[in-house]
Amino acid sequence: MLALATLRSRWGGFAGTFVALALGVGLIATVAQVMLANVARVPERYSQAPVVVHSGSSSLPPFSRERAESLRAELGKITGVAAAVTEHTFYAQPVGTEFVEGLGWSSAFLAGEGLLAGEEPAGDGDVVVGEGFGWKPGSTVTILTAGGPSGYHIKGIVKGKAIYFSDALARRSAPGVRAIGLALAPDADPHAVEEAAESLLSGQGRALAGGERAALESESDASRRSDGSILLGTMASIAAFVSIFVVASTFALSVAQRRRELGLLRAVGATPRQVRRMMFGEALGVGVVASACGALLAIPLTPAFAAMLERAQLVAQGFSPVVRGWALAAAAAAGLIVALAGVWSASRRAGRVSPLEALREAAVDRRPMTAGRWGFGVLFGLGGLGLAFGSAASGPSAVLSAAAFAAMALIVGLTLLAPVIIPPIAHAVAWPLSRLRGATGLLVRENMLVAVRRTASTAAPVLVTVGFAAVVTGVIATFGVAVREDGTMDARPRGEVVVLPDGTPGLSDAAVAAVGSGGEGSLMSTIYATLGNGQVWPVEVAGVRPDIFVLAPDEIAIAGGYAGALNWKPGESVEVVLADGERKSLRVKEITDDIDDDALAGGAVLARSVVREHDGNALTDAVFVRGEGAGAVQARLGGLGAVASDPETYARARVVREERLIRLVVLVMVGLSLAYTAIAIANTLLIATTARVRDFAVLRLAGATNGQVAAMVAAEAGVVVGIGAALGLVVALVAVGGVAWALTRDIGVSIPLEMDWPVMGIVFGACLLLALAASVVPARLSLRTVHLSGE
Amino acid sequence: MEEAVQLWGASRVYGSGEGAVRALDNVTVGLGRGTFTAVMGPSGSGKSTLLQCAAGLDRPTEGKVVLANVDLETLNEHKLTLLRRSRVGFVFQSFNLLPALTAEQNVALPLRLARRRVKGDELRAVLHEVGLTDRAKHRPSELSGGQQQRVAIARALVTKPDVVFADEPTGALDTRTSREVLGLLRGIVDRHGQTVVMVTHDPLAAAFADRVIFLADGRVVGDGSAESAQEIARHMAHLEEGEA
Repeated sequence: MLALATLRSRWGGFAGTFVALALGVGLIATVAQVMLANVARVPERYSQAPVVVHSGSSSLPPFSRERAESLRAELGKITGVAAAVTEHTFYAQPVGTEFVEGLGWSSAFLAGEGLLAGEEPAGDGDVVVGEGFGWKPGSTVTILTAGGPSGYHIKGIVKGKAIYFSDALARRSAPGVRAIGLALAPDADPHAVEEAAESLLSGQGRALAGGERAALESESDASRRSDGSILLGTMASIAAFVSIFVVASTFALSVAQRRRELGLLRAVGATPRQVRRMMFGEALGVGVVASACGALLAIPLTPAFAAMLERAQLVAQGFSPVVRGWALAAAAAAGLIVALAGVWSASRRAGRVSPLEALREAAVDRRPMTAGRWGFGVLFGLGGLGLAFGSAASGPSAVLSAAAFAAMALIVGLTLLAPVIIPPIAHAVAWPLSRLRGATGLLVRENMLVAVRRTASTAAPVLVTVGFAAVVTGVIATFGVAVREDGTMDARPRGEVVVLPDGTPGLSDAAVAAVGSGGEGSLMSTIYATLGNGQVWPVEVAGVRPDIFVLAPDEIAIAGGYAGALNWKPGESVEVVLADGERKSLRVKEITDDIDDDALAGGAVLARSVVREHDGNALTDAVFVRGEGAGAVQARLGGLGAVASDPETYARARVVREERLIRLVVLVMVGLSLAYTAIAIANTLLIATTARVRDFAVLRLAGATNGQVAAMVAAEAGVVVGIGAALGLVVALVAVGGVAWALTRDIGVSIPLEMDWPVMGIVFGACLLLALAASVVPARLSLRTVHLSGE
Repeated sequence: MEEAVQLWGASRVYGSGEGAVRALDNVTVGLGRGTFTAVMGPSGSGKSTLLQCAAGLDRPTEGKVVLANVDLETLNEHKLTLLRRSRVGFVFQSFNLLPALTAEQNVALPLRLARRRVKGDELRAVLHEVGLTDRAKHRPSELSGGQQQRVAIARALVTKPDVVFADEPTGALDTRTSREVLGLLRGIVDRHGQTVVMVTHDPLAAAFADRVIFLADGRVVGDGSAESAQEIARHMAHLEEGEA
């Protein structure tokens, strides 16, 4: 009864907690549903192939053409199999689109797609396209393949979005076969067929049926999903962290504010346990309603969020999450737990309030630091430091996560230690204030020092916001510098102009030819080597022109480190599997110092002609040009999906995928924490200011005008925000410093600590404006109605 | 006569070393059942401290307090609360009521905390006793100072306590309202044999009591039956002069 009555009459004080919790639950529910849907799915193109024979993961070689053909014939003979179709897939990108996959026409059968209009492809110049492209039968479309652009005649239309070439062309273009789809007779048992296929393969590949076929999802989908998972995971943790933070600090503040009331309750006969239970009751009340609202909020939020993720290429194509009731319920339950967890320590403090507090007038915190606060404060502080400095540069996503967690730990630590840290800082900051003539400075300083808890609770959200914004943008900036340093070091000696893919996954032969003989670029492919223990290892191989490096067609050059790992010795003859599944014997040649590291890219070098012969899909990552300006080169690159730029751009392009992810993460993280702490700052200051009405009355009695009281409130808010921002900056400097140190150690070049000052300036300004509004406005409003009698 | 509260050599020291303050200094006093006692003294004399120790709100640094035949020192915080809840009624000078609850709910609070069933007629009876039946559903913000004090007294009475302690109950009220409230306190002693201990600095208020105990510097310096307000006032003046 008491909890409900308190909630009803003091709902304003709980509004902030309510909003924070509802948003937190909504966000977590949304993220959860998206993550649940972000699982590997069976690709559409196997919808009519219940069993698919797969050559294994992408780190294993594909079936060679002969092997694929003989397998297909044998698989076709299994009882229950109506047809076995080899899938030939290769790089084909219609100019001006982002679509990059071409298939042979027979794959349409596996997808279950029939012609909607027109006919199937007859010759190499024909294609059948999906209606999703919006092209008409009979027209011509220019499609980029590994060789270069070529015009194709649209012979027919099917459903969806796909491009089918003639089987003959597909067979020639696709480097090896990775999948053979089996269409079954109507009464066939997929599992029986699967077993029969497995025995046929005898270990050289796998047969997948039913849901297992999800393993066949495309590489791009797989990498998108993993990027997305990292982002979603980080978002969920931040949402949870900030929710708990705001809820806990709001309840802590409310205990401090309701000291007299709690004292009265104790005097009237409430045992400490009853007081604690009342607080839990309040938290439960707020928690239940807020969690329910948050869960409902997730329903419209999920599709919107999914659309945003798909556009950012962080989820598989065709992603459509479903509203799962149990996920919403689970998120709501989590919200309840957060509410109860947030009130836990505040309730213990409430129970310890002595009945005599009801008699006390002044808001003096006598012992704000407990052993628990000391212990956990130090623990979190050290933990944060460890995370920051221990973040090895194992990839930008991991570094970002480590930095975020380090920031969180440091923020918690600093907040817990706030009553110890803030007074000396407040002293230092306010000393010049008290030297001014007039009462404002003195009042501001004394108020801040005496109501330490209130000051700490108000500074904390600012700390969180500024800290997060600074850490996130700082890590980006520092990482950017590191990548540029690392890349520029490599690129600059090789050419003043770098030709890079523009909207394509790589440069075609035509683009490379257009650059001319002044350019130097390698064809990138993969070969597969067998290690001593029988394990097959993929090795990235670069195909280089003879004028760069002389290699006979049967030679392979390998960097020293790799040679050791593969146990290859110079002059030795080794057998590898090339990109099309064919085996080839090669003589090992050692790398000399004439060729620089980057041409190796992965580890091995082959003659360009060999790579092109065995990998019809191979593309060039970049071409370095010397002795010409970018403009002149660009003039030759029309319509080839390439752009000429400078070495810095090349260095950055190497992580362009991560940069897109990082930009989104920045937006989300900073935006989220800003929104949250806006609520927290407003909430805290609102509660604190309205509770000081009597202080204002006393001040008025002492002779202060309304303007002076408002100025005092504003000055105090400003100073507290300043303290919070400064502490946030400290957190960020530590976290980002750790990252810079780790990167320096990793790359070998001194990486400076970079911060994004403009963004931080904006964040700080926003916090300040918010704090001023949230304190001065209620102060002025309450001054209008305050009675000078002091009651 | 049986005694509701006894203090034996009670002392209360705040702080330590140089800055230590002896708010109560070796006080031994017994308060009889069914009496109205006023505790008077200049500010800083320790009268509020005496009240707080006697009511079990604070623990003396030395000596012992016996309330309702229980030595308070033997009780932990939890048991002390239970004892207070059932045996003691307390009225402060101000801030007596929870602003979120109505008058009725405030009065019922000690019973609810004790998980006793609240009988409607019990509540109504005690509200009638203080003359606030028609204000039962109002919140403290809608009541005058005097009305709030009367609600506080009603709440102090609802558990039928052994003692009602009042700390400057009329300090914030005007003369007429003060007289009403004091009349109420006098009434419950006369009609129901309730024990009331009141701290006050106002001689007019003390005149309503049966007995006046004078405190100065934490020690009992006067103890006798209540005389007229003028006599009490003269006594007080003597005390303050004596100090100066």
